[in-house]
Amino acid sequence: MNTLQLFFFSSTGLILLIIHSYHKRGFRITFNFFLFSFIAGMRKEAGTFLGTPISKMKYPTPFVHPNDYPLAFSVVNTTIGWMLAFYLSWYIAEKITDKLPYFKGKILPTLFFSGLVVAALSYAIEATAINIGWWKWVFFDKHFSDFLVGGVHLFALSAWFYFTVHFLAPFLLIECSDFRKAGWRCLFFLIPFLRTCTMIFLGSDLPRMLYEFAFFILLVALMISNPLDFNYPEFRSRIIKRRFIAKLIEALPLIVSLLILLVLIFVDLVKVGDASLLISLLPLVLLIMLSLRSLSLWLVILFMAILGLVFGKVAMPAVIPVLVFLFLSVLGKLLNIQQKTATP
Amino acid sequence: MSTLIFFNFCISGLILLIINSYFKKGLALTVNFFLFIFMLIFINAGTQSLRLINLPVNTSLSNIFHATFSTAIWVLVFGLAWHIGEKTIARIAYFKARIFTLILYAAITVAALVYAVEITAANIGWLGIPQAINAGSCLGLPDITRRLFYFSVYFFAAYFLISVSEYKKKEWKTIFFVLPFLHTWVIQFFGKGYPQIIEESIVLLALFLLAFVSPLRFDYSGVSLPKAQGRIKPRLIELLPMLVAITLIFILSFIDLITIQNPRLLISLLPICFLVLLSIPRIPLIFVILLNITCLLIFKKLAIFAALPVLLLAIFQLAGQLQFNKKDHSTS
Repeated sequence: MNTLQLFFFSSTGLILLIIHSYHKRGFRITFNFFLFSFIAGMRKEAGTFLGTPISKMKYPTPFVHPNDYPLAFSVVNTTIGWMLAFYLSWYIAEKITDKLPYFKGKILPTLFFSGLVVAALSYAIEATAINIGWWKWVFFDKHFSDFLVGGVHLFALSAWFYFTVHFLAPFLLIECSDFRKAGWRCLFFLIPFLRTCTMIFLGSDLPRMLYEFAFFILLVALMISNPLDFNYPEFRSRIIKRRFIAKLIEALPLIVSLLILLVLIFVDLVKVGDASLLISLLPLVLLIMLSLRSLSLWLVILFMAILGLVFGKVAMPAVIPVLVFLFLSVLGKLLNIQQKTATP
Repeated sequence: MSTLIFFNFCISGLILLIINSYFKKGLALTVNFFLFIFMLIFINAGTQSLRLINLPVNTSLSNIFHATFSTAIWVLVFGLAWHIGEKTIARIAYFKARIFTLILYAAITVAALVYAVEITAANIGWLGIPQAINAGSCLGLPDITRRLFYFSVYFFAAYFLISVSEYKKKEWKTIFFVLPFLHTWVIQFFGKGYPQIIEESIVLLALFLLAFVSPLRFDYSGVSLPKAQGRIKPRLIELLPMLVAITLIFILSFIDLITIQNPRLLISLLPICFLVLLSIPRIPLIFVILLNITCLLIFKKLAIFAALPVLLLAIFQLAGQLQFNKKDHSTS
């Protein structure tokens, strides 16, 4: 599969997700979400591929594009990928938190799981992309590289995680929370701004890692202590008479996720010819399984245990999201009990 | 005058502008305006593209300080430009409260302020610029004037169209958010040569056309204003931006005359002085035009930059008058 085919595939996926969002969340959220994700993606990728003044001075661009396509195409192509990843992560995370009664309909747990979904997606895509030559990194971060397959490094995964969380946090807080009526709501734009400033002024290595670590701690603490409720703007939903069409629209993100998995499996097995790369798909598979309402949690745990036994330490990335889910599930139950005993 | 003193003035001026904006335009508009301009300029100053000086990026602390210094100046400039532009176009009844006319005048004010600050900064060697590489007594238009002019056009256009135009109630209003990024992407994808010149020419032409023909007006409906209580006098709040502008001109004149001891540099203050004069409704336009002609006779081509905003306003006045006459004829 070449870059052009990838572009058509991701564009088609994006259109399907826009249709889903329009029907499920209304025009306003759909328009703003995809517009801002486009701006965020373009801004990031233009800097990545073409270099910003600061990156030219201090650091090489993180990865180079090996093909003969114009750079503008590469930037747009990757941006479409980001838009797709952002929406899928939001959707899957929402479905996962729906299965946690205490955290259902809460913003911060959804945000956290969105980051995990994107990190899982990045692992699967990076492993394939590096091996088939869609792009290549100019450096390699050795930390925890034994736990990952396909020459993927942790830096890529954490970069995808934090970029998503920093994009979704202001969007969800400004558009989908109680703050959306506050005159000062735009202050939430300072969340991604702080990260950018850390990278520009203090550097992309240790200061960035320290900032991200502090942000992670804060996110987890807030997620547990004050998860914040979703409050969507009202919209007139379109009534679809045909039940099949309504079901189909409902299932569109899942169809896109499965298609991504299928394409990656095809590329890994047929084009690259390396079956070990399939291990990189496991975290995403487990997260999709967690998001399915009809699938029992015990089945997911059993599957996770089998993976752990079969693949050993390379199955660790797949185990983490399930452990997080279990932790939140137990915590939610404890907090529920605490609340019930506090209110006589 | 040391950098720190000027920095302190900028911060104080900014606080006064924020107070004025809060009482005149409300919390939401004030927060959004100063927040977005701060974020855009701070990042650009961090990557040196809007930095007042060019320093090698070596220490993080000095980098942060220099970017903060540039940001304080340029945010102040943008705040002043909105106020001065608004007051200037308020002179012409026909164009009063028209968004694109204000964008044009606010951008011209930004350019005039940047010109005055940059010429002084380059000649005083602020923040340790070696004197040898300074512009000396050169009064040529620095490149940053042009860059900040276009930057302000995109910024003001996006901000006004989203926050205070009739589009503010539309669900798709955030599409205007793309405007400031368009300029960056054109440069990034197509380069700084002809593509940038073509893009900037198109923007300038479109802005002039829209300034004359677009009827789009400011819509402040739904904005809740706080009431000035106690000892805060509304008249004083009203005067704050003018006070800041005049103090800025005074400081720059002081530096040019006393510290640098080069009175020729005062010519760089002419454009902003004329814009301030135009923004004071009590001063008749004919008086400003006469003063401008006198400056042109004395300083010749060096006073052309100062003549442009006055000439433009005279044309707007004439166009407004013609439109009024046309309307009178059609109704009678």
